[in-house]
Amino acid sequence: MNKYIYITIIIALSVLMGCNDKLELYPLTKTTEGTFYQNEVQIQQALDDIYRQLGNYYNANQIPDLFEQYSDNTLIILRTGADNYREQITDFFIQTDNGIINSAWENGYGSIYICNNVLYQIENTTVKIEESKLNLMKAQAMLVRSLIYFNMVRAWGAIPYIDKKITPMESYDYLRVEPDIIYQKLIADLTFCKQVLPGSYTGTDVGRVTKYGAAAILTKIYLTLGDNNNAKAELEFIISSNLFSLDSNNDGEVNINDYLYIFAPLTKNCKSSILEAQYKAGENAMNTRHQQAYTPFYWDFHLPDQTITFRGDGSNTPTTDLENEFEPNDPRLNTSIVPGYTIIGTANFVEYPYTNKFYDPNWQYEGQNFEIIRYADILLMYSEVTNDPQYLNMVRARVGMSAYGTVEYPSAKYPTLALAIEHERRIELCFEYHRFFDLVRTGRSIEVMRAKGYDINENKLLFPIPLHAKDVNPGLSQNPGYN
Amino acid sequence: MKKNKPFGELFYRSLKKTLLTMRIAIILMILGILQVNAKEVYSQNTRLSLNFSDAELVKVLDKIENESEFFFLYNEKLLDTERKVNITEKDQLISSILDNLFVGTDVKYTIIDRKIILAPDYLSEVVSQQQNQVSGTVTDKNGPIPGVNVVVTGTTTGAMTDLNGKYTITISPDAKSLTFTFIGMQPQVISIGTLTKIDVTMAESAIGLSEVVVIGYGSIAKKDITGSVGSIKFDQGLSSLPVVDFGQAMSGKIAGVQVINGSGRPGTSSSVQIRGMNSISAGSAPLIVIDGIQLPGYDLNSINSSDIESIEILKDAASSSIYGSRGANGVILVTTKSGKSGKPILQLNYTYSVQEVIRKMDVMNAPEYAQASIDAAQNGWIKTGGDPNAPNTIAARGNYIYTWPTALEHPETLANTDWQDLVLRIAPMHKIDLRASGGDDKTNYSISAGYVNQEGIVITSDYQKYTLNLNADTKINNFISVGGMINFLYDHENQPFNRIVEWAVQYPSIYPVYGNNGYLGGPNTVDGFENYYAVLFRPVNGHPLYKINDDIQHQRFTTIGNLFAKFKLYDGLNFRTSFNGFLNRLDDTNYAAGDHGMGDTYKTTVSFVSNMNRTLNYTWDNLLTYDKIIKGHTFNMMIGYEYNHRDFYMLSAQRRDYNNDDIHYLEAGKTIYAADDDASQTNLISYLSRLNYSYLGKYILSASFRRDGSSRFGPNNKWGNFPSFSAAWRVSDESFMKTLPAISNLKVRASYGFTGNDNFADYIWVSQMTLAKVAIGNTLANSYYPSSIENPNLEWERTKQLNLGLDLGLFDNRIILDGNIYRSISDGLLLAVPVPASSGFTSAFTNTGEVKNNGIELGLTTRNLITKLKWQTQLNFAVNRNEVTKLGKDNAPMIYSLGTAGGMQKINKVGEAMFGFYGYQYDGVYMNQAEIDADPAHYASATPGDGRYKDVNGDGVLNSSDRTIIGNYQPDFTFGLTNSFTYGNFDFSFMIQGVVGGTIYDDDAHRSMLYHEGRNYLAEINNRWRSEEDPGDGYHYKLSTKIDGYEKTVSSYWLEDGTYYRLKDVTIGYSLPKIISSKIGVSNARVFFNGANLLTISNSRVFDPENFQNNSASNSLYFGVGGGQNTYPSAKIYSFGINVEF
Repeated sequence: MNKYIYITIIIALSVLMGCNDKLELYPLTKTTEGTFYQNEVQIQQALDDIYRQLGNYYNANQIPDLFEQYSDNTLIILRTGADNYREQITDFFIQTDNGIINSAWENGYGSIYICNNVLYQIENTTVKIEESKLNLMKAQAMLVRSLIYFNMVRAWGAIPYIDKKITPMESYDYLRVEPDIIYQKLIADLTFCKQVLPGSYTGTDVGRVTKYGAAAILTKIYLTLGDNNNAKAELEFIISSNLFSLDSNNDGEVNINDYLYIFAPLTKNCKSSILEAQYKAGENAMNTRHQQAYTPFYWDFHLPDQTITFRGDGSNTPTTDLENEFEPNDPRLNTSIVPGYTIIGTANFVEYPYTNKFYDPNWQYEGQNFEIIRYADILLMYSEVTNDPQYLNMVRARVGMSAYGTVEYPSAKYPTLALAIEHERRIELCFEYHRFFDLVRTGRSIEVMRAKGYDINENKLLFPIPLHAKDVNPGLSQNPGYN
Repeated sequence: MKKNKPFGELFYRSLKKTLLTMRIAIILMILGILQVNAKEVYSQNTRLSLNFSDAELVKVLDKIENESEFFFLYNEKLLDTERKVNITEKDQLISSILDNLFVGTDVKYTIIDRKIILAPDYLSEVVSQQQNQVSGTVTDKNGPIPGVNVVVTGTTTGAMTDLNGKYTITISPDAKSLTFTFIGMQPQVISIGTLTKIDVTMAESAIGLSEVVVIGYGSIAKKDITGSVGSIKFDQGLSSLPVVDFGQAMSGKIAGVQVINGSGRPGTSSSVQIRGMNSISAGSAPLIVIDGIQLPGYDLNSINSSDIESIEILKDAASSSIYGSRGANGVILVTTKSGKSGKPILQLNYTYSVQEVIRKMDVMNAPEYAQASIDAAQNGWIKTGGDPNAPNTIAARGNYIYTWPTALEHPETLANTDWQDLVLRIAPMHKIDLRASGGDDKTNYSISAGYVNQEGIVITSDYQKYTLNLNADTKINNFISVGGMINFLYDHENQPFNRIVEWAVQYPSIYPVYGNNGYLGGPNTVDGFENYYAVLFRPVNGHPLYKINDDIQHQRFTTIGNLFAKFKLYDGLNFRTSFNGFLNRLDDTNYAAGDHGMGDTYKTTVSFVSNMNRTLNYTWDNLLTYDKIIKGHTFNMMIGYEYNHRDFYMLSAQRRDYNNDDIHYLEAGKTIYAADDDASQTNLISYLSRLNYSYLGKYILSASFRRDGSSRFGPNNKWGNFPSFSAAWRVSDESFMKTLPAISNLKVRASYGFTGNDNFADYIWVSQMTLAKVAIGNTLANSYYPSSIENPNLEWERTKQLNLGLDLGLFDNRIILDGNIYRSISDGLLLAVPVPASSGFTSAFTNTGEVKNNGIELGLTTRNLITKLKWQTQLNFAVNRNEVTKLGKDNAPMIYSLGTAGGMQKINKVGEAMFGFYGYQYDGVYMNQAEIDADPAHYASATPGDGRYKDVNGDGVLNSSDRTIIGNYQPDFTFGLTNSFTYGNFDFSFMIQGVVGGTIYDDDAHRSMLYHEGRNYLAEINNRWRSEEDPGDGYHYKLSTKIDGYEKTVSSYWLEDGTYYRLKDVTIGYSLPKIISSKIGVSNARVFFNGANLLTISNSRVFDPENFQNNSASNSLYFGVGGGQNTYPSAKIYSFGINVEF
């Protein structure tokens, strides 16, 4: 029987020997961070994710969109979902546990982490890459980060400001920083971006952020800070480059077609575009949800020129007040607001306005780019800082509307240039997330909105710090008026 | 009478004083084998070698028991076990060995298969019958039983049976009845009356002390258990139950083991929760081991319940710590049936069942719903400041949601459809099992096949299951035996569209099934509702038949098998190596049809998804065991090594745009939409060891140690150690206990052990770079981003558990109590800790936090009647209290959104039970303006008829700091009560099972109550506040299409009581008398009726509160939450079946 003992010992030894390497398993379908950033291509791929972040940030239901939902441009008739988070926003009774506000907060910081991480990788890389190239990469990430912070500061006021890669444990120590301090950091970063970034790109790089994009964000920051001189300088920097014009389709003529061209599904980074969120239509691409989100929450109708029944989420439904703001015969109305739809089964028409600015026939996988800052915006801002109506009138002339100062202009309604610009911005840029902060930075929000019956006060100009963020880190304070 | 004989003591102490006073006291013990079907075969073929000189007889007997499958039965007082013997035998038959062993003594032996009875020969002579005497024969199903105790009930007058099972007893004239007792058999009491001859057939006791229970990597006599192990033997009744997954057969049987039927969908697995929840983020499903094969995933449907011999459940940590890193949620050990030597047996079970929904949900009928809709629109209109008398027109009111179709004012003109009747049906089910088994002394085999054909109670759903099981082992020679099993399972399910039941509950009763043009009934096909399409009235895609053309199929192939070889290396030293395999393949296809019974206009894009999931899992384990007995000291040692590898692959493809709905394959789709896959691997390396020691069977100690290394953990913590210690003391075997004859068995147990939980996804510790698509201009580029945080320290979640147990048997084990109390602490919880979002992540997976579970479990078995009418009662009862004791940084509470439509939330907070429901405390309706004014904390928009919410912190303002824990799904206690009766050939049993306390949340009820897009309301909303004059029940607030208060906010309004009491099972059976059955050529035949879930008592309004206890075994966050999509109610089942054995 001894032979069995020997067999056992041999078997036992053979199985017991050094199996530890079997425990070293790594993901099969994904690369790991520990083995990434090993060459320039990989660093570039990590950097390029900031464009996805920018796209996500300007998608429906993120902070910029919430500004629109918060404005007098939109309301909710009927929409998807069982919570009342969106009603809380459109009707000004936001509760601190509002889930949309919370995810906007989380998504903003998620994108900032991506930017901070890629900045860390660029700064600490051992891969040999030219200094200028590294700076170019750095500036792109910095610009996206600045834009996100700018929006978050406008939404919440003081917020944690983090500009480096940190661990979750360290993040508890980052508490709210006053807006002025953050603005100064953003100005410094954007100034660097403005110096480093090119004015334009060629080939497959077209669509990346430029120095004029940096200047445009700087303009908005300066305007928010009431610094018209610096804003003017930035606007002149953009205008004098002569790279941009209202002739968005670049056919040599400035007319209504240029306005329509901007909202054509396939238009990308046209002549009018200063800063643009990039999307691509089709399955498994980089899709947007603007059209889906802003279409009525309704089953059986066709979007214009489409043959498929479609149901939207029902957010950002235009108000009658916005509809009334359009002057008679303003050709921009048809694109901005569709009055309703026809039920397929009964051929009944239902009055339920919605915007058609984000029209994309590829309705399941939309890919229309989003204009964050476009040339009409630049001109209107320039009119504002120079107090010169000619830039305003350029925008109006493009769509065949009468010039400010002429008898045809509805001066009774908009007696001053400031009011005329406010009116024009509302019409030209509706659903492009400008309205609410235009009113805030000009100090007119409470006056204007109250007159229309909105329950708004000074405290409601800021969103509440999400309750969840406070639950996790009790060190965060709350904005006044919320508890 | 010899005293202080260790071996004798072992058997002696369980006897009682009554026996001592008898003429002859009997102690007999049955070891091991449950059933003996054959005689002589084993004994005629088995040859043994022995070599003893000057050894005690007991050692020789012991050796024979260890070396063979023989076991001895004898009366310790009649046999001199310390007699010194000399014996040298080589490859001899047992009969020749016994001849030599007892030559020259008065001992006679009888061999009945593996059972050897030793008794002095004078016992075999029964004196002839005299006056005042009763005599007879005592038998069991294998024949006469010698040594049975026969006592005149209530006296000390007794006798015992001889080798032929015969007895004679002298009785006094006032003797009423005789009590027959025999250890391992159910006692019987028979009235004497005028009888002088009483023959008795004894039945084996299902709860005898001699049972063997399977424990991890081995088995043990039940009496030697030191931990807490629940055991279910699958007798004929249990095996033939019309259950598809074996969890249902376990339900309500063991204290502390909660079997939960999460859905009535055919083919779904019940979930099992053992002793509460130990984990927050990692899974809480127990490990399942079938014949030593550890399943990589939890599924109680992977084997046919008819193939199961027994199920053991390792409840305490000391028992399950032999499974180390997988043991923390308890372990379910399944043993399949194997063949027994003897005449081949052919068994056939057939059951025909009819299933019906357990109950319907109570929703509004058409007139009620019409009025509710009008009220909601009118209240909404008034809320906006509108004139209540404004005409009901869009012109006057501006928005359709403040108007209503005038047809609603004439509800008698509306259809009154019961949609639940439309989609639910009475459905048949057939279950057939066939099994052949047999064997001889060397080889045993069992082969079985099973078939289930089940229609679902929801239309378009059906299920078929085919199983095949082979089980064989053989002894090659005295040194090597090999064996194995293989189990194939194939099943196929047609799943109904997952919202069909939800829709049937919620679609308004006002519509006909079919409207204009024969299209589905809805606002666009019923005159008068056109303009309300989707505004107030659920549009057509909520019609229960809207997705009736969808085709959802699931197919599963599961193969489980193992092959083992056992080597007898040396006296008591054995080596066993076993290769265990598991191969699973799931194919899921989902065809979303374009045609919805609405005509061409409403056709939608077709999509077809085909998924393939493949899991390969194998384990190679090697065990070296050594068993030794030295002078009453019994040692069982085991050391082992195990290697486990798991490999998972998933492939998914999708096409869209089909010309028509004819072809449900990828091939027919025009657009290739998606092609994706996923893969992962896990390795686990384990070293294990265990030592069991007992002295005289009285003092039992056990210790085990396992060391596990897992690929799932961070490089700094790949290895974990899981020790356990346990001890038991059989007090009843002590001599001082003889003065307490009422106590037939008393054992105290204590155990302490460590177990681990590795139940989460692979590679979590690694920071992974996720590939994404990014657009720049017209270019689509690849980008990568870090999607998780690296945590090289990630390690096991460890549970420490202390268990104290008591086994008590009273009055000849007429009353058996099994009690346990335990306390477990799980720390280093694998926890997705919420971290500040400013870190870029919302949660980090770390080992943080601690949870405590305390509990009491009681099992009580009583044999109330042991006469011809036998009545046995089993009661089990369990209480578990769970408390979070530590969380992440600063113990900050963690609040979770369930992501369901209602936004219900849960919280983990130190000092509270895990996953409590969290929100506002609802406080009834504001009946009038005065009540609002009197409440300083009323919210701004409150009007009479709105809900009132408690200002919990009393600061006069209602805000988020008034949120509080508003319920917890965890029950106060659970119980199961089974009564079984037999009378002659009839058997009858019923089981009541209940869950008392606990809160559940029904997403459906929630949605229907607050959505104003035309979902039907629960009938209880008829008691709503309508006006100050008609305020309803004061609990249900008014309906309104304008919601600006707290109606949609998470509150206790949406919760309900999860308590239920259920008549779980009723069985009536009749076994054909042998005389009749043998005439038709069968050895055993039984017919039975079974009713499952016949009656449920519950306050909740859902189909079945049990479905809500745990509808997702993988994520404890969703415990107590149900409804919404995937609702499939459970069924009442009426079955008729037959068992035939040839």
